Amino acid sequence: MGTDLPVKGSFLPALGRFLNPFQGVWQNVNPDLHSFDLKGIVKADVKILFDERDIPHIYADNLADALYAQGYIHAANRLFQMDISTRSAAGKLSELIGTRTLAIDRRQRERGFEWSSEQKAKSWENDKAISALIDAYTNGVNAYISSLDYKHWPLEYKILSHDPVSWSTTHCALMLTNMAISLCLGENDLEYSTAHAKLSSEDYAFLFPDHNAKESPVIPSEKIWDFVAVPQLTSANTTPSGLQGSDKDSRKDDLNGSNNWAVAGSKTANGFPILANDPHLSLTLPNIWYEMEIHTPEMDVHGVSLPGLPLIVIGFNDHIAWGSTNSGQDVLDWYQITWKDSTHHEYKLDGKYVRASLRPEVIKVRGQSNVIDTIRYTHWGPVSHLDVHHDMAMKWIGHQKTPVNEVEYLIKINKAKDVNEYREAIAAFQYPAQNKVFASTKGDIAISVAGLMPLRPAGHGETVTSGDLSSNDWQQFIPFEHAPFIINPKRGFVSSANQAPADESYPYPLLGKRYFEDYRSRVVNTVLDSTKALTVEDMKQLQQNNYDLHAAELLPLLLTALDQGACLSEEEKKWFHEISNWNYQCHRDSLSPILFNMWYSEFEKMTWDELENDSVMLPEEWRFTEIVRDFPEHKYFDQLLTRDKKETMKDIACASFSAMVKAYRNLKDEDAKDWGHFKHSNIPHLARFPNFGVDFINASGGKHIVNAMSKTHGPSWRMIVELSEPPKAWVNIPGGQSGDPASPHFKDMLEGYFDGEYYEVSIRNDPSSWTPAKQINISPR
Amino acid sequence: MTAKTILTYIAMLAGVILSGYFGPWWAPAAFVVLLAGLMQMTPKKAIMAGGLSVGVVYLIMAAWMNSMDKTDIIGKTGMLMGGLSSVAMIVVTTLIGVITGVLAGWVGSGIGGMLGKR
Repeated sequence: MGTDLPVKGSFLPALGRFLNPFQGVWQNVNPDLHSFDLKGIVKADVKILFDERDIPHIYADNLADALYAQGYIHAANRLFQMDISTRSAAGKLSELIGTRTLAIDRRQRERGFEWSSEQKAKSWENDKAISALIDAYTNGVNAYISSLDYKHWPLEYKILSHDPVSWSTTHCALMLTNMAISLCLGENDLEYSTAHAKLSSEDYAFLFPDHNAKESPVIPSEKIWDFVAVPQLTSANTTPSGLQGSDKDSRKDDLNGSNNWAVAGSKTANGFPILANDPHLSLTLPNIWYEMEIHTPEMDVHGVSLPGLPLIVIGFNDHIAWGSTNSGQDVLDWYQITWKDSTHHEYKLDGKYVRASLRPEVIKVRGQSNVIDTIRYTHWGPVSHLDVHHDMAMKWIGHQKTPVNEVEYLIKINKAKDVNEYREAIAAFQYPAQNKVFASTKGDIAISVAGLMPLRPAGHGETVTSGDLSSNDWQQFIPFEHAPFIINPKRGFVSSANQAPADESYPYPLLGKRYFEDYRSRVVNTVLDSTKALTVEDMKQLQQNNYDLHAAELLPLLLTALDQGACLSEEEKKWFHEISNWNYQCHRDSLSPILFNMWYSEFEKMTWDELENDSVMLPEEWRFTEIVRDFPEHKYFDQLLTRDKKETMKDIACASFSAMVKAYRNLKDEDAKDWGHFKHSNIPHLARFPNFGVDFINASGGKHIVNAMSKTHGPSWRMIVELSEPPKAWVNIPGGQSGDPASPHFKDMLEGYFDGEYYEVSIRNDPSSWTPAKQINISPR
Repeated sequence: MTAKTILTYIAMLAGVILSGYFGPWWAPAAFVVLLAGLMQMTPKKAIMAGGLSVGVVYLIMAAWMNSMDKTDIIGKTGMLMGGLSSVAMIVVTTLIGVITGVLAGWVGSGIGGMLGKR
């Protein structure tokens, strides 16, 4: 009764301990919601007051004490989340889960995520002042962990029968790495290499152009780039031959993205700037973010934090508000390695053989013996040897040593009072590259493409490169002064929705076209451009805008091709009329979004049969729409299977419509009902425990839509800040504050989230001016 | 039932509750071993007293905690353990308590017997 029982590849916890009613799972029924006092490593008394939504408001005399309290509160509410996130990045899930996660762990180890996080944590120690603040946060986390006995373990630890482990600076670095894995691991080097190898140069240029003519970049075209760009070096782009494949597993999810914008007072009804932000991420319970407010003599700041990292990541203070969207640039390159011999100890570089450094990795596996692996590190980075990137070294922004401490950015932005201090903070931001929007009570609005952007030799970065020459390496990073940035543009607003950072006039190449979003930004900019006297209500409407611009541009072309349904049967015509009357709103109650998405899927499949046969990636949606519009007789519309007939776009439109109707008829009644049921949005528990998440959410929105709620991705935090004095905000989160599934605050804010509810928030500077629902007092030991 | 038997049962119940509340998860079992050993109970009596007292305490505690379970966290956890409902979780918990008590009583009686022979 004291040993875990392996059952069908999983484990039953030791039942004697687990079901003991005094210590085990029964004690997790009643979460502790009472006030209490504790002694901590603080210099002065700290008060933590919890409001009616369980948002902690920390009042401290200095930043170190505030961060100690933040660490304690993060751990008290989200310890399992912090643990699982860092384990995921480090490749240590199998210790908890068993062999089911071994493949994931092996891949994470061979990508060197723990290795670079350790290096990063060491480098943080060089700055004593910031190192002390990280230590304060870590001490707070550990103060909570050391207070735990089995009775008080979070439920997930009891189920998985594993002790919580103490927190370290490396864990903080791993949290940062984990975020970077989510946001900037995207690249298509192998896919582009395959496409280059299999297509003629004309076809390649036709299918994969660099710029969308309709693009509405982050930095508007009025910007003049008044600097001399660092010239790109030249190096023979010796793309290795014989490459093919697709690394779909490690590719950044193209549903990750976000919206943000800031509108100048000149365009708002009451003359105050308004800033809005909703980061789109994989949704889980608990939510990735933890809302809180921090008060020290130097700052009063409210927003969301990332459990495992100190300070506020997105939020506002008494003077400014800031938000982020992912910039989506390609900051990962693969270099093919030439080994000297089968020992794989030495590799070719600049005509010589250089020794790779070896790092042994021991992966603990629950219920099994340890798995030992050796990872080879080269000039470029760690070498893969498991998947399609066999014998390729990975050069990634997250592995690079940088002169600035990442936490410095957070400190500076939390304290910033004006646009100059915002820019100082941006200068310290490293990765993942983000579009940082800004607005201040002084009336300024701005947006910066922040983070390190590699400058490569001309023509490099899109495909796999030979690792034999160091001249193929990244030259340097684009200087901060040259990075895209604009303040108070003429149009009266700044915005970003993961689109291209700048237009073709920008003097540096910006790789990442497949990840630059092509639709949401255009909808946002159209609405902001065309509306006067904007209000907070308008911002709420815009965050929940369900207009499908992709459908609006493509569907009329396809409907015209159907020639009033001439090629359709009587039954198919019924659906033709249904979709013809669609207003392009992806509302949860409407049927047409199902028809359009299913039709598009069939149309795409039939058109690109040649490419799928050759394992070549498909063109982007905007390009496909252009081809439908401008090249309806193009060779790619001709189907491979019908050798005696040459199909055109019209033929494919008709055939795919019939296929769509057939597929629709085969849907389950429940799925066919409306868009909300078809899409079947859900929010799983972080550890994917069945029943701990929410199995179905009837939500509008979808891919390419401002309200980007897809199946499991969507707006993870909605924030609108009016920069009055003092600022006011409207926020909501799809979940709750607590990570404890038994807590009343586990998902209490979820119910109204998808109906567009917001909570009004203002910074509560005076702790004595309000009555908390709960209070924790920390006093010096 | 003699007064001594009733007192033994009361002592065992009280000891199981107190050791369960203040001690580690195995403390109730240890207490039963100790009491059965010190009182040199016969195997039959020790098994009965141990099984009954730990089982009853586990049953009452589990039922009480379940009555306070507003989010059905026990039912959800039970689903992870082969689809057990919260009631089934109470039954399994009681069964674990009975088995723990029976084994502890039997061991305690054995130890008591060895002590008696000396």
